[in-house]
Amino acid sequence: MMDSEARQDLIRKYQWASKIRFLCFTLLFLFLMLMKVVGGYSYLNAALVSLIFVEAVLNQPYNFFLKRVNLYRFQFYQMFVDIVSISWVIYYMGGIEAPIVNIGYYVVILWAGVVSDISAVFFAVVVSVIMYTAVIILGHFGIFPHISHFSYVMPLPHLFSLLLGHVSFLFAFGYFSARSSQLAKQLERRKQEESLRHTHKFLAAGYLVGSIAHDIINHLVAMRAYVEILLEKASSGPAGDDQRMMVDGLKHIKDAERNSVDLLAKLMQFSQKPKEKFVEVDLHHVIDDALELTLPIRKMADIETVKEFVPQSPMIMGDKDQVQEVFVAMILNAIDAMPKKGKLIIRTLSLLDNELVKVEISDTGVGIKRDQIERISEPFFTTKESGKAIGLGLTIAYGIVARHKGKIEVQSTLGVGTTFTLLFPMALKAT
Amino acid sequence: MTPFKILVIEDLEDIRKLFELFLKKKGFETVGAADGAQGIEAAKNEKPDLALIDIRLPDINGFEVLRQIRDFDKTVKIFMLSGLYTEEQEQEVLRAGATGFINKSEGIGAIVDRVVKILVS
Repeated sequence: MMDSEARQDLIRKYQWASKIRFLCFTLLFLFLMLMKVVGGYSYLNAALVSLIFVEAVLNQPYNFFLKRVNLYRFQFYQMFVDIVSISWVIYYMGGIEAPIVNIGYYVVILWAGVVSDISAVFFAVVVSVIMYTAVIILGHFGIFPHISHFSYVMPLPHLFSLLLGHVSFLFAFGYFSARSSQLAKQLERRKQEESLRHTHKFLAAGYLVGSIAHDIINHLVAMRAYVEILLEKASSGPAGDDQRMMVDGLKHIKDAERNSVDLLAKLMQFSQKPKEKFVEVDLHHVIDDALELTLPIRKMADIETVKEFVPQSPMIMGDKDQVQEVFVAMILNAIDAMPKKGKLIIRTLSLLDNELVKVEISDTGVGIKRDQIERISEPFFTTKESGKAIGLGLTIAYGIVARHKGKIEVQSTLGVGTTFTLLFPMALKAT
Repeated sequence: MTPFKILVIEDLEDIRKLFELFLKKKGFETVGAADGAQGIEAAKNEKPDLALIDIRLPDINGFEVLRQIRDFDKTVKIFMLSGLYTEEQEQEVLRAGATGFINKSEGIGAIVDRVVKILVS
């Protein structure tokens, strides 16, 4: 199943394709009309006009179909129709005498590379080659009526060498299109991955600032209380220069403390996560959302994802965004553990007569060393290369799961993979 | 008249001790607890007149402690402590059944004065 966002994106691209197609054929039509007027060409006959009409009209129900069909299969049909139309135009323009119309094939091949994958490019190249060869050969040998605007029959060796040249160029261009489309897609995915990681780091930094500020405020509060005690003692002590200096100094400390607390409170407010909202959350939805967010990265890392969900949706009491953050962190970790391909398995199970829900996130990655497993939730602990992570992803995940009264367990075998097991209490059914 | 008994549930030892010190100076009897479980136990056994509960506790969330204490004691006045004041947090605290919300950064002295006023009135 294609996720809806990718599908929408593809639909937009195909709508563009239909606009470009319409423009191309209109321009061609106008160009031919000009040729007819200027050069008096006689071949602008009913067949050609009807062809242009067909292509223009094809665009009309096109948008309607786009939203309702299997896009992947539909694009092959669409490419086939395009290539047949182009071949038809080439035939009517004199076959081998009209090399410029070949550009149409290149447009289709390039488009297949931009919008779709290697098999689409391959399909476009092969169909173009077959159609082009058929049109030229069949026209030349008179199986189709021979159309020539120069009353010229090309010698066979000349025809074949030209044909071979065109065909090999089509294949070469197909290769170029497939390669560059792969590169473009990789770049796009890397960009998305970076933006997701950036958000992740930003959240981590916010969390860090918030929790440090909170701790410092606590220490400052204790400090102020001690200062108050000392101040009381100093004020009631024997008067003198020393006593005045002491009182003065303590008051300054108190003011400095007050200012620091105000500053920290502002910092905390700034770095504070949106308020936790505990509501009934469908864990399957949250996992699906996390999977969708990480889709580009999973694709780029060539990771196969397997979902094994219990039939009944497990409902927990929780903050949707925070729980999602946990799963995103877990999935990102799993992806990082699998530098070359791999399998990500997410399984949900209900335990203890629907009191607990268990989520297992397994990867077939490099695994975690035994001594590292114990430290996995420590802040700033990371096994990833520097710059990629700051070692707070799992710290935050552990914190969030604890606030949801859940638990995280880790099992790992070096070279085989790692399984994170999350346990959450299920939401009590409304009584 | 027996002195009022105040329970302080706060994990930071410094702050807990200071609260107790300030309260004792005002003539109250105090009980300290370093985490949620100890706090709930103390609330059961000591029957305090007022409890100060830190929202952030190492074992159980302060809100959970509040709820559990409310389950067996409807009359004890409970104030929740936090390092940061937000209006939503105050609303949440009141909805959860607390008597009030106290921002720790007001300072221990000021908080104790407030608590004294509330108890005496």
